[in-house]
Amino acid sequence: MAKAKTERKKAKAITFSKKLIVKDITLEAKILGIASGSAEIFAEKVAEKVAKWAEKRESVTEDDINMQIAKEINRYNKDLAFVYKNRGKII
Amino acid sequence: MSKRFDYEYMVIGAGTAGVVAATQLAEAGRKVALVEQEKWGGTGVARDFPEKALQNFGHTYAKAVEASRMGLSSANLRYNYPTVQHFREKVLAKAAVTKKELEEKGVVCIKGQAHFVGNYDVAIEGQGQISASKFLVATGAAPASEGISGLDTVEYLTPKTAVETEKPPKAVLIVGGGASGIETAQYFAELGAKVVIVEAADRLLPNIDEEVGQVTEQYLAKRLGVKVFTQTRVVALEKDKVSKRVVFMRGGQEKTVRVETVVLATGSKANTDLGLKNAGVSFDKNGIIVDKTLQTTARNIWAAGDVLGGNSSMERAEYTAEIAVINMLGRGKTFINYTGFMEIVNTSPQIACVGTTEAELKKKKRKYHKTLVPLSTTSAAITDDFKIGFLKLIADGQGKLLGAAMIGPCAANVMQELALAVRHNIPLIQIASTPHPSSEWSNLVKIAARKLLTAK
Repeated sequence: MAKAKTERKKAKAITFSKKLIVKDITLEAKILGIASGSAEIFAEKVAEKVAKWAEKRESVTEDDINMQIAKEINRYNKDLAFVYKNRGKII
Repeated sequence: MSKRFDYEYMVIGAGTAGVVAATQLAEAGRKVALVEQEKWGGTGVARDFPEKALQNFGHTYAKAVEASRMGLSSANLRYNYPTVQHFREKVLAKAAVTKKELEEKGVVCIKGQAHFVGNYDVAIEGQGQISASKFLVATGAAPASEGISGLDTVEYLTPKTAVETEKPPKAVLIVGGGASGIETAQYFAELGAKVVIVEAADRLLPNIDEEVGQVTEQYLAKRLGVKVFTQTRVVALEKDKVSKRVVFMRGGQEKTVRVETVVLATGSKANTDLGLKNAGVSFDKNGIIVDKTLQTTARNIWAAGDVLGGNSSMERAEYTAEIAVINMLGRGKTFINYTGFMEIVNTSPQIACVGTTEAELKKKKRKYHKTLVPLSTTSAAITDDFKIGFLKLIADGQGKLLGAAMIGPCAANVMQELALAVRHNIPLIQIASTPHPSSEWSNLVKIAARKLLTAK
């Protein structure tokens, strides 16, 4: 029996923007009821780390960014990390 | 090859597994690209060879110091550390794999960090997006450091960088009492440093038979003055104007100690941060998830080497690469079989083990018989004037060898015969009835096999 061919899938590469990440994190933090002051502080730190991670990478996808944000944000707020880890899955 | 793809095969990671795979694919006449972001040859060559060379230097020096009882005058014995480092660099240069050698074999070498953006496409730093019909992920593993804070602000060494220092430290704390931690501890202790080992488990070498860890701890303590703190977990590294501080938990209490040098030997973690999710490849905290043919959850992607998790060794990396290549080339299905792979700790005396441990058998509630034969039962202990250690054999009721462990000179060489027996189900009676040279350490195998067969 012939093997089924694997469909070629390619994720859309996105333009990386530190500002957009900070904005996104502070918005998600607001939804979760996290104080905006502390959210802004750790959002900057997380965005900085993610920017450093993305520096060496030619292309990254939205999923990659979300996973990296989740990894970095985990030390500040586990609930927010859960949101980013499961983006696209939460209904 | 289809015009849809830039390459037929792409191997990501030029460590031991990646180099073996890429070379074999090129020799099979396939168009293969090998992508590497750091050193060609990877940590296998850059770490294992120099580490072993310097550990052997340390053992030689320590034996020479102790050889006064044999008549060697060693009162003024010294070493020149820059010369020792020069020796390390020579070893590395001889063992290194070069890009030129790979290209001569037909491998296209691409330097850069690879990141999957799809199941057939990879974005490589400085190269744009490149596609291939099949991939092998051989990105290896890196030192693990989870659960310890302060690592981004305090300098620390790893077992690899520990042998690259300009001069040996006077005092060192080793975090981790596994194989690499103990090797590093002994190396520095042999060069005269004060060494402390901190291990979270209740003994050194927690994944090997209990007796091995006990003898190792006694030997390190009595002969080399190494202090061992078990059931102790390091939680943070801190730095002040004076020195570094290590914060650890012991007996439910938090304690601090000042150290000159810290070596983190807490194991390794698979390098899975290359967009595997975009390619449909599943992985967990141990490494990439594969089936018995080393195929991942993506039909066109395989994995080999340390990125699979489990014990790390060059021979295991080579073996997984060979199996993956056979399956990638579609030359029938070959399944992985890790039975018979040894774990070796390059201490002096050396440690080697194969097969199942007694603890694993107890956990599975499996019946077994065991014997433990001290080194002193063989004449090599007299001629070499060395008695610290033993050979342990574990077998089932039918005389089939299940596992073995040895601590003693040439343990890895002695163990090879038992690895053969474990892998190919050679009965103990055949081992016991095979002639062994009575003046060599391998004679222990015959003695232990006979003892196990006769003791019921």
